[in-house]
Amino acid sequence: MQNKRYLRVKSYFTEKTFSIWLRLIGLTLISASFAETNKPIVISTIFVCVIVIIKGRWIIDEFMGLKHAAPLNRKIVKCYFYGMTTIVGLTVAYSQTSFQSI
Amino acid sequence: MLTVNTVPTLLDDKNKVDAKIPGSVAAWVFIYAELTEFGFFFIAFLLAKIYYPVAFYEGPAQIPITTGLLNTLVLLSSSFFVSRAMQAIKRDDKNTTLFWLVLTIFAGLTYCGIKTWEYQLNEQAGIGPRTNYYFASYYYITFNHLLHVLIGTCTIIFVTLLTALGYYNKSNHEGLESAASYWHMIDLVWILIFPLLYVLR
Repeated sequence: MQNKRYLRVKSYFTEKTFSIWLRLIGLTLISASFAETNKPIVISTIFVCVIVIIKGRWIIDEFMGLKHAAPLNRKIVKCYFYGMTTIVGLTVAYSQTSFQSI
Repeated sequence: MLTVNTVPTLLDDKNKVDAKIPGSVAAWVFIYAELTEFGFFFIAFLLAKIYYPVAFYEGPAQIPITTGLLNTLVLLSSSFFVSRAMQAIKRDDKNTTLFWLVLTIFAGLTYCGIKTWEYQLNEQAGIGPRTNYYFASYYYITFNHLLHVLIGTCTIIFVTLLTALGYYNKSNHEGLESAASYWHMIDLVWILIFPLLYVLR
């Protein structure tokens, strides 16, 4: 009985979605630390955007379950997310460079 | 040789079974509409950021990062809970499905509570939607997202009741899957809102 319970608990922690969740939490904490920097730089913006893209990819593929779903659906959601993150990154980086030059 | 030839056939069959969207087509049309709506919000925010760089540079430092971070952790956890609920219903494990769905509802309500706390902290600091263009955009996007979380939570409550009544099982769970996809969409949008409003300056 105890062994069965142990195996059940163990299955929770060794399961793939759990490890993805842990990684997502870790990346979120890393990206939040960039908010504490006094002077934002372009390289930190790029780093945060890369983290956002990685997190989005895991959510789309693993949590949403689109990895093995209809390819068109997966491509639309991924294109939207990657495209929007790129636009955000470019605009923020442009804003930072122009703001620093003032 | 025979084995080598049959393996691709079996894989093709498997891919055909899996090559469908999670949830109903109607739910996905709704999800795409919501993504488009948030896309316009993001573009409007970025345009305002170009026109008012000082307000958008100083803005993120004035709002509490702790509440934004807590909400991100809560939403990521809720997405994990929904994902586990979907795995459980595919195993026909009703009780485990209900356990994860109840946790999701709890996470949704926690998000709303934290967001209310954040707005109260802003109010105490003398910040409101009319403070400047950054805060107008901040309130517009975050309040809209909060409404989506409320809608998502109500949907999850509804599908939880249906699961408890035995409506969903291993072979029939399209409604639950649609609600789960909608919830993941809310999380996905927040993944972008968090750095945009709280982190990047």
